[in-house]
Amino acid sequence: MQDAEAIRRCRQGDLEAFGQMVRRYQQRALGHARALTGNDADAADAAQSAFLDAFVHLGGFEETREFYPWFYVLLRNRCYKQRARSRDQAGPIELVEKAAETGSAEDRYDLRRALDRLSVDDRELIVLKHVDGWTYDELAERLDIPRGTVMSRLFHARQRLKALMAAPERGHR
Amino acid sequence: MSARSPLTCDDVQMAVLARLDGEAVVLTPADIDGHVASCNECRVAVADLTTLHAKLDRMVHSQLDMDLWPVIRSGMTATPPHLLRRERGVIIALTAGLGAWRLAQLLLDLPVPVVNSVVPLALIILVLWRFTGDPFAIRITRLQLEREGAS
Repeated sequence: MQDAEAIRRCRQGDLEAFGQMVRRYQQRALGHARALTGNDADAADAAQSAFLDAFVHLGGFEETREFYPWFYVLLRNRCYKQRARSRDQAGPIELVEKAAETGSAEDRYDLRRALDRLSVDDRELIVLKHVDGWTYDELAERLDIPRGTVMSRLFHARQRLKALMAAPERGHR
Repeated sequence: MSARSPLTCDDVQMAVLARLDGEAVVLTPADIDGHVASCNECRVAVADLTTLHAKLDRMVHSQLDMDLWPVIRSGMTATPPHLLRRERGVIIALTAGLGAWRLAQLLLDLPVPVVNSVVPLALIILVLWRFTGDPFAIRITRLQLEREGAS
């Protein structure tokens, strides 16, 4: 079932159609929620709440748009609320290599450790850009910031990441 | 003579990264490459950022082996008591508001007739909006849940 058909059926109260939407997008949502909250439990809570929000607000969803970018805004809000509630620093990010890695294991470890030490905002941008492949225009629209700001924030985020990879870890995050 | 301000290293490095991202940049390739060729700091930074970019492009989300649907579904089933509490609150608030309005009418002898009809209506709309949220949102009814459960 395509998204448009599933959403039409969800709007008529078909819970199983919504179940299909959840299963289609839950891995992606959990990955993003993990990057924003920093642990599996908060990520799962935030993603569940965001899917419930999506179901309740499907009436306001424009069928001409893609589902996930619309849903991402709800997910992001839930992740921020979840983090505020748990009052913890974001934990380590869970990213893995998608193909046989050419660099050394130490390089890979350094990159992941540096990503863990980035701020949540920087981390979110980098994940959305590099892991999800969103363009500057998509980032600007979905994060509600100007395109120039996306470009500048991404640049500074990657500069900070580079600096963190070069600098030895000091104390607690 | 060009009125353009001189390029900074940040401008050039930002443009290099945008180019690696496959995005359109304001600077021309000649501007970028010319600056990088003549600036040792940028040459090193661009090499590092290019390596970092390639490493980041190889990352994917790790799969969390989790199915959210059963929990979400049970969350939906658990919704009615909460809605019932909310609905009870709405009814009490509306009753209290309209009662107070009727009392005010009797005691104060309000002089503007149009206000008498508009105020209760506005009150009803405000209270419904405040307590029930978006009136166009989809609600799951007990009947729907039962039907889903039976099928």
